Amino acid sequence: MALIDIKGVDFAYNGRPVLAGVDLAVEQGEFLALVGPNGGGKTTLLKLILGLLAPQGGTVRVFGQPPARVRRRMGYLPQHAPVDPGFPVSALEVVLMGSLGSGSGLGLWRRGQRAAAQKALERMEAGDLAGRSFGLLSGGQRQRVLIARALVAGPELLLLDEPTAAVDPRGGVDLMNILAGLQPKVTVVLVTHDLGFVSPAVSRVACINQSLSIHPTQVINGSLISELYGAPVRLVRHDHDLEGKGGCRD
Amino acid sequence: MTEFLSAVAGHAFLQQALLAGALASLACGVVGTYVVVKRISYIAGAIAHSVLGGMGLARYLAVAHGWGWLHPLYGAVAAALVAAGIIGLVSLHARQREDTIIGAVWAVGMATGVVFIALTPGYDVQLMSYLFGNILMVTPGNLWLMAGLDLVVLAAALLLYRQLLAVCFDQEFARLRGLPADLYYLLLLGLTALTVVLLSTVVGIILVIALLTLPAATAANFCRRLGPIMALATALCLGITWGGLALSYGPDLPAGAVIVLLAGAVYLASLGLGRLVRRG
Repeated sequence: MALIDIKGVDFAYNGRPVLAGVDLAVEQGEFLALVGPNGGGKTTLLKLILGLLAPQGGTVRVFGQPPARVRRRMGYLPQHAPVDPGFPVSALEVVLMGSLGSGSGLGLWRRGQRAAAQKALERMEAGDLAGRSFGLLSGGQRQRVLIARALVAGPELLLLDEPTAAVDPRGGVDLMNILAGLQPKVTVVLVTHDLGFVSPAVSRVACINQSLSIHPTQVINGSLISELYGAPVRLVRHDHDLEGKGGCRD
Repeated sequence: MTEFLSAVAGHAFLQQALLAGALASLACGVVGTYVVVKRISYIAGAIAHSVLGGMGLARYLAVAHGWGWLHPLYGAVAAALVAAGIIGLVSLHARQREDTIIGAVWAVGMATGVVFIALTPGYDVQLMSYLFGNILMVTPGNLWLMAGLDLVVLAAALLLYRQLLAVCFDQEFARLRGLPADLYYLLLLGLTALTVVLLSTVVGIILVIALLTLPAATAANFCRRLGPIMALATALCLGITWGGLALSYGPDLPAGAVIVLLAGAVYLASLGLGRLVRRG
């Protein structure tokens, strides 16, 4: 059984269809990118997988169960974390908040929680940020901290909504490589409209614009993108390969 | 100043006033910090003003119906909690109308108080002391009630530190993690309500919002973590209430107003000083 199993899912906001007849199976250990235009249903699909929205047709199963029931086994990075940059908190404490649950008890952070938070930061290659003020970090550093917050409770499935949106190109490539290093232990599904970051690291690309089609990463080219976005798109090939080993297309 | 110190040694009412200031400062530093970082000072303002409704009703029942045991402070606690509950539920369930409801609770609470004070028989000088506080009229009975409120507020705010922090930082995420985030948000508003009542005995309900937020905002100019901000805000609040009391004593000025002016002056100074510290 696939880790995420989506069959014939329809979803509409106030009668305006966003997803129609979507089928998707994601296996354990995959790194899947969901790409598509704004309003194409990427975030909606992610929220269906999280169980924050319920499908209006079809079924969504995660770990073989209804998603809301297994939400604690998933880590989530929202598209716009509603976070006040002036909030007086350290990066480590932001990560620690990811380890809170319904039965967390009273008092201050436990030593084990602190160690786990530090380890989650190190997995994101951000261990040195632990003591820094969250509000003073760069966009890319903040994303690493917030992904560490999603990782700290040891999720088997990581769902990321536009993790590279506020990150410069170099930081985006680094972030994708770190995420690629999480497999096969953690299955990663990420949403992006930034195709440039996608190819080198991910195992499959699912293109969504109401309906969904799956592509191996090699075949992302101009005609596919214009089909997806519904208009001719001028494709600028940018490999983001600063070390000079291979490109997006091998 | 020496005049004030010798007066403190000689007068029990001044000692009680200082003690009241100290008790209020404890809750002020801790809860004021949550209010500032969660950016809910407007909600705290509405709760503070609605307290007049509870005080007026309690006073009316005590005088007109002989419920002598019903001190206005009990009415204040009840009104503050009701106002916090209404605002909290509205802001959780009907986001787009939140500001309207906050404004309504603010004004309706005050209007209720004004009507009941007018209905209360006899000449009533209490209205001014509800509005602007009279820390010199604090009784030993008030002090016990204040100590009780302090105990509740501090225990909840410190024992649930992690949960309240998570709800202040990112309520959506806390909810996603399975934390009863709405419940903690309501709890935070409840703690704010109790703290408002504590502080209103010092500076009155109109001025309470300044004393609740200014020490914490001042402390936030110097510290970058929640715990140190709480500690510094508590110390500042204590210094400001005691300092304001001392400054007002000689020229016989209203203590509440002088305390708030001092809080404002300290905050302004901290803006300049904080900029210097960061530049250096």
